[in-house]
Amino acid sequence: MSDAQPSVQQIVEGVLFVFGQPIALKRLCDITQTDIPAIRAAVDALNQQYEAGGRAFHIQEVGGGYQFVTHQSLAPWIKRALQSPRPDSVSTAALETLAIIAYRQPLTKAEIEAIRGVDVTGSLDTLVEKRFVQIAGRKESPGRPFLYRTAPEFLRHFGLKSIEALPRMALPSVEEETAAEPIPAPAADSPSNG
Amino acid sequence: MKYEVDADIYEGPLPLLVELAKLNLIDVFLIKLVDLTRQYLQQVKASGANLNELAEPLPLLGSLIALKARGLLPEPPKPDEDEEVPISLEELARRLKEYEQFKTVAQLLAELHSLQHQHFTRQETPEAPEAPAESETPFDVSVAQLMGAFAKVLEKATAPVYEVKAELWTVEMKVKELRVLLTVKRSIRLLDLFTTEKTKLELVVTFLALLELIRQRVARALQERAFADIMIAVRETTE
Repeated sequence: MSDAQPSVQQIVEGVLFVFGQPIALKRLCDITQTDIPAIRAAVDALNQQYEAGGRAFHIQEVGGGYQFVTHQSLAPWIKRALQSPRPDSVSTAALETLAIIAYRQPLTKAEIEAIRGVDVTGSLDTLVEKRFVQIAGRKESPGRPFLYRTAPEFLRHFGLKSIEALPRMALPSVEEETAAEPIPAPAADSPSNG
Repeated sequence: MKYEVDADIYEGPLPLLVELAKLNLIDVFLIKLVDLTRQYLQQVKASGANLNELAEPLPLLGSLIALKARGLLPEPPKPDEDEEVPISLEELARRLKEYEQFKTVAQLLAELHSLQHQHFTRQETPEAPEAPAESETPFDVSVAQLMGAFAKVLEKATAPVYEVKAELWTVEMKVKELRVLLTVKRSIRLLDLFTTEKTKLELVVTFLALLELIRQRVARALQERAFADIMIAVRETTE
């Protein structure tokens, strides 16, 4: 085993072991000179080995990259070891703003406020500061307001593989459907808004 | 935050009350808004702490008032061209429903967040190994990141604070200085702009001048790669 060329699995394991940040799938392909399915297979195989061997960690896919993470059950001890000063919590207000951005992005501050019904300057600042949200350009409307969208850090902190991995909203976007009324009304051609 | 109200015929969480009123399961006219308002004000006086939390019940309370006000009006007011189109009851109900959806999703996000924070990653590599130069191009640094970098500079400022008689440094002055510096050097490390023997005031003025130059598109802030030092470089003019 020592003389032979290292396997893709070994390379992936080694690289992930060294890095503290998620490594993009594409990057792993470049490093190992293989393709995406090969990397995925290697990660799956490694995770199976870890599970079978009862290891304390596994490889997690997050925001389009891979990283080593410890098991949930170890959290209390690791927190103790890290002596982390405070839980990195996000306020309810900020989470609501974040939810709106995540599902409706890109959108402006005014559009967020129209949904939340309150001023969102504070929570928006918090989200930008935490790098969950970033400015995605300007809207071509009066005042050219900033457009906001979620940033890669958002996916990492919420353990999401991609934006598509967000839980589905309970109801379809109310925008297109007037909801509540199950009338088929095929001929109703008058737009609901006056 | 759980915000509970007590309004004679109803006692319980506020969102449910709004929901019920919206669905006409509770007659809004039997709810005394005076009582709700008083309770809210008491709450504000009592806690006085977290503004975000205090603001939370406001949209709900506001929508209750709006619901009631609509009901009181004999006929819809004439649409004033200058003002927003008056919101219909259905529209209000729709907005509330939409908002409730996002509230639910926000709770889900909170769970995802705390779940993910039960998993620990390896500590960030202190010196990210050099990536092959061709694979990564320098990217623009945001103002927030500049502020962050500058905050570190301020922490290190050693010179004592003293009273300033005249304006020793002006932004204009520093802009000129930086322009000269950039013309000569083309590119300079952000941290090298701020030597620690300068006073906080001078550092701040320098930073303002830097922001001004970035605004004027004379300079730009770049990072070679993630976690690298921020570089200030001359922006090649395209005009």
